[in-house]
Amino acid sequence: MHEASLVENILFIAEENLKPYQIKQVNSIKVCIGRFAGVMEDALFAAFEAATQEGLFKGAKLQINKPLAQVRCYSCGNLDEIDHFPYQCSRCGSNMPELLTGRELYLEAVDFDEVGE
Amino acid sequence: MTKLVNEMELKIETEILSKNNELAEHNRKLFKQNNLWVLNVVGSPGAGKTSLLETLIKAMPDLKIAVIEGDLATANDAERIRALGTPVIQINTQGGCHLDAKMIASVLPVFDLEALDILIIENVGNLVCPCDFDLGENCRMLVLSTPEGADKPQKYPNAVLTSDAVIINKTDLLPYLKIDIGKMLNDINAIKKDIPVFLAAATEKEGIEEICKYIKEAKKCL
Repeated sequence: MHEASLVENILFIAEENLKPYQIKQVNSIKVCIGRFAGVMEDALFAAFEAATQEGLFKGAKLQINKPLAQVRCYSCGNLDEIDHFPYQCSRCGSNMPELLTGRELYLEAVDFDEVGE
Repeated sequence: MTKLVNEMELKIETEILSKNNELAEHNRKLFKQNNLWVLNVVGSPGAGKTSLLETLIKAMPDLKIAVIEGDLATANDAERIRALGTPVIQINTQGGCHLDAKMIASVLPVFDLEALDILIIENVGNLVCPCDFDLGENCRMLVLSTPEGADKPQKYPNAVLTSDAVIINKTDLLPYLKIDIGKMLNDINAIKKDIPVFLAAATEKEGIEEICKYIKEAKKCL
């Protein structure tokens, strides 16, 4: 369970990026987590909630974007999208995929209200 | 004067583990400067990682090896390695489920890196979290063992995907277990084609020669 340290990193990066702004309220933090990034969604939500009880991120929502993983079949070269193993090629039935994407783990954007003049 | 509120979306597009990845690159550079080959050993608690290390160290007396042991608590594993006369340091993560690049960087000054050939890092026993943390190693070796069951590769595909080689340990217990080792090998291959897989019984010194050969070949490619 390393979701708590992921949240710590997410908030650290967000805070660094928000420094030039006068924040009234952070509404949401959007992250991209691949299907094979090894992250438990529920644990990430729970850790996020626990870490945003007060301070700059109080009341912020976590939004998780979970793109399907792109694979290429080793046998016939067919491109597929999958969300779990085992894989079976939709064209030739082979079960040998080359994982092209699926391990994404990045902070996409922060949505916030800024106090203007 | 009334203050206006602007809602805005700030694009960030930054790797969540960017801090760890930067530190891992820093470690990697340091290892390279010292011509040091680094192995990160991951696997479940009780898979036989420390026993494997003991056997590998004894089987390669021609190489200067040092070890970093990672566990939540105790220095039991480090003591086993120290008993072989091998330089070792124990990291206790105090509940943390994995080692990260910063922990490794913090203990490196203990070793005379220039005098070493190989550094082996035994990660915290866990098939999930250590997979996401680059330590700056040259090779990540996944240690599975037969009593854990043949379905572990399918259950933990990320552990296979992020490794460079797999060892299936405790093959000496196969006569007592109802597991289909052929299926296990097929499953590993279906997750990551052509990943080297070694069958071993570390305490019986079986299959060790092949693993030593693999390590020495990999070290040559530094």
